[in-house]
Amino acid sequence: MIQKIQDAPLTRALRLYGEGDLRLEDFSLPQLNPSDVLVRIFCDSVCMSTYKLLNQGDRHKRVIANLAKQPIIVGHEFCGEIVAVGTDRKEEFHPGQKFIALPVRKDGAIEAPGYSYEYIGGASTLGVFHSDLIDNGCFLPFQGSAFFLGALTEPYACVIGAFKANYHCQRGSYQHQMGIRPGGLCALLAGSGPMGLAAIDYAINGDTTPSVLVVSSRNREKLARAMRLFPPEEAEKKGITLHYVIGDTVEAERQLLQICEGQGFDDIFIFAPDKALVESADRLLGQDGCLNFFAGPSDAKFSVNFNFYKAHYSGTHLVGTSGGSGEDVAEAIRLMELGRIRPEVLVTHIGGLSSAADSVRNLPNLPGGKKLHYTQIDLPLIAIDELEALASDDSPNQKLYKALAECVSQHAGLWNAEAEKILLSHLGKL
Amino acid sequence: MKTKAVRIYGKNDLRLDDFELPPIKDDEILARVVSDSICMSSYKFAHQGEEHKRAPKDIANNPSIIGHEFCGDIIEVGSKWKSKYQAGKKFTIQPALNYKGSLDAPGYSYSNIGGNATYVVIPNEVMEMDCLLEYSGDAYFMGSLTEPLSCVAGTFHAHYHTKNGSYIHEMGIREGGNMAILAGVGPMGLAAIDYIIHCNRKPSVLVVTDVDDARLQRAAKLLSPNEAKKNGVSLSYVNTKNVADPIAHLMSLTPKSEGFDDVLVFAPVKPVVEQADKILKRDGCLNFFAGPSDPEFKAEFNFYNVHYNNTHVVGTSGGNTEDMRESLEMMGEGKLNPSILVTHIGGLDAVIPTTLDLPNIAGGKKLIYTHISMPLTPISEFREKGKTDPLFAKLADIVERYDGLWSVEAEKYLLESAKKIA
Repeated sequence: MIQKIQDAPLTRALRLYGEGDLRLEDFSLPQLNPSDVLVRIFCDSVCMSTYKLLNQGDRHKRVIANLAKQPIIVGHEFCGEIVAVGTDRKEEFHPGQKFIALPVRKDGAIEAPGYSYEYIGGASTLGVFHSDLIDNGCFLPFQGSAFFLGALTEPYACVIGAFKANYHCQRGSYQHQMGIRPGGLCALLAGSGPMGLAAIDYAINGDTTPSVLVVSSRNREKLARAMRLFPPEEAEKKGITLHYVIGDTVEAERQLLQICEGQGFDDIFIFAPDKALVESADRLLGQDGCLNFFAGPSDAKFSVNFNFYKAHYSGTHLVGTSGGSGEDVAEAIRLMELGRIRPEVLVTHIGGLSSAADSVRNLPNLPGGKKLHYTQIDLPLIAIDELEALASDDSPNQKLYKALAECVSQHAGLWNAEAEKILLSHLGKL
Repeated sequence: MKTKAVRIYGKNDLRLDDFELPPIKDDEILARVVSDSICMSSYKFAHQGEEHKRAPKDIANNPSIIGHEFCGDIIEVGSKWKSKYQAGKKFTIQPALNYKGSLDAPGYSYSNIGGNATYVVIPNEVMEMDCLLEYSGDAYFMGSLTEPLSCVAGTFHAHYHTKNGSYIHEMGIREGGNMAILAGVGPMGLAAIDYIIHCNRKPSVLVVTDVDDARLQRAAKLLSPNEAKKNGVSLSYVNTKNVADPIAHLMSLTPKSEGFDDVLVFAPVKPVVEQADKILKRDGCLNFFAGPSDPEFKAEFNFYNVHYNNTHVVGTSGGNTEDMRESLEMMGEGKLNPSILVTHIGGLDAVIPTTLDLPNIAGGKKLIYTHISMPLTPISEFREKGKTDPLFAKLADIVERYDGLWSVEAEKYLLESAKKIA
């Protein structure tokens, strides 16, 4: 139950009350404990995991309480500013400092911001990080130039974590070599979604790179966009032969087999929880091949016919990760600061808090990549590549759209820190 | 040097050949094989012929001697290895050489070396990879069984577990955790139980399943829950045929029904693999120990748990040299008793029918003495055979003094008294 406390700050947040039951509500946050931190959220990007959460409600493994009685705030890829710091933490943090959330607890407990908590989640205006979350590494100071970059560190950290969790064996030794095979053959199946883009980016620009990278997708439009953003010629400069493969699972497998000349892949990442795709990946694994089941299925009984002959004789093996660690976040931030990775390419849509619920509900059917919601403003979900068209309409936001369209076109059509500033400077004017 | 050896020429085409070994080169060693135990891998090899991963492609013209669990005496050492090995010493071999990335192994890939032979030439790469091990025990058969024991030791070393927030794997089984060995009272299963209750890294709960009461009873007698308890392991044997809901029952044998950290599957049977999957705890490691013959052998595996609960799979086929040394050491200290594995004894002329029919022959390890002629005979039938054959009568007497188990004394008597192979 929400305690009504005098002078307690008011928040507006998107709360989950059960399967399919999302509500945008105003309510009071509890008074700040001495070791808590009160934050203002600016940007929350929408993840497919939140869509799955919406469809599972209380059945979701990260949901602990009874949602009907204790609704949780959704959204776990978010960034904002510290508003107030409890007396015990004055030395650690200060108001005005940017922060990011990490939905993985150090202690391994299943709870996470965006899934399990009443007072903290991305799709809200204000929230409270309780002491226990801060102590478990779920609250991290951030010095980046834009809120949206902060929000996108989480999906990048997931990808970085997945790449680090892959492993390979050496014959005659029981020590695992962690990470993808350096200079090996790597495939990203169903890899044209936002997480796929982050994976392409990291595979090419991370510290350990494959020599061959193949991205498959059945979505021609998304794959074409991926190819524009990460052209094979650019990858070639880093010594990586990058292939894009369009087609259904059968066709993609045929082409992938051709590319690896029947030898199989060292590392395969699967970005859609699809049985046929997993079975195809299994067939595509080479000696000591590592299959990373990146996309989490909703069905707890999701099973796949896995080839155990290969597991026994060829050492093929499985890895699954769901979320990156604090170190992965640090690496994502380091690579961002060095300009080596480009989170902005993931973003195709922006919106305000009021349109966040629809983004979550319709996520699998929405075109494009990442949807960013700026929670301090009211804005319908708009596609970045439609800003120009919108600017010519006679809309009340015409001036803003025009300014944004100009800024975006100066940045190769991509969302950027300056555009974010323009958007936020219109705060209250919308 | 003339040798007599069982060689494979193709699928199910095994022949007992007499042929002349080439003179050894400076970097080779001539050896007499005394004993070889027959492994299910050799059956699979016989069945697959040239399609086997370790087989030479031209096996019809270049037949391989089969058998890779062998022990014998060094006869002559080429000059290159004289400082390391001496004639007259006993040896055993670690067959998974991993020489320059090759899968070639004695018992699979060589015309002049393998376990089912009287004499062999040990090629340079065996010594090069430090896979020729001196054996100082009395019993040749124990030397033979070092290899299967090393596979078992190695398979436990290949297990791993993950740590939250870290990408470094902790290798080995979960110490003090829950372990299940499914279909685990065959010869390799027994060796696994023997090893894991006596090694340095033990589980606290060990559940062993099978569907054969007689085999389970034998296991419980040879490796009793009391013996396990002395070593801090709570061991139970379960006939999964006799419980209504095997999965629920197995889970109930772990604290708070939390499931198992480590599950080993000792039969390449789909429902057993699927049962293993269903009893895994978070971060549970499924070890598919038994290699199937069918390259399309598949089983349903829960990928939701792969993603969210870090369940994972390992498969090993063969230990490394360290594992062999560990096994030799543990045998030397009396911690491992490989004689519990042995249920049948035969001569070199018993190898072909035994290998080809291996899955249909009940019991544990089939032990071959390569210089004698003797049909494959269950130890349990010695007394009966002894009624007409004094050799078996005497062997039965010896075996009875050792709780029905094969022994160094029985081996010595057999080698002195049995009919030599022609």
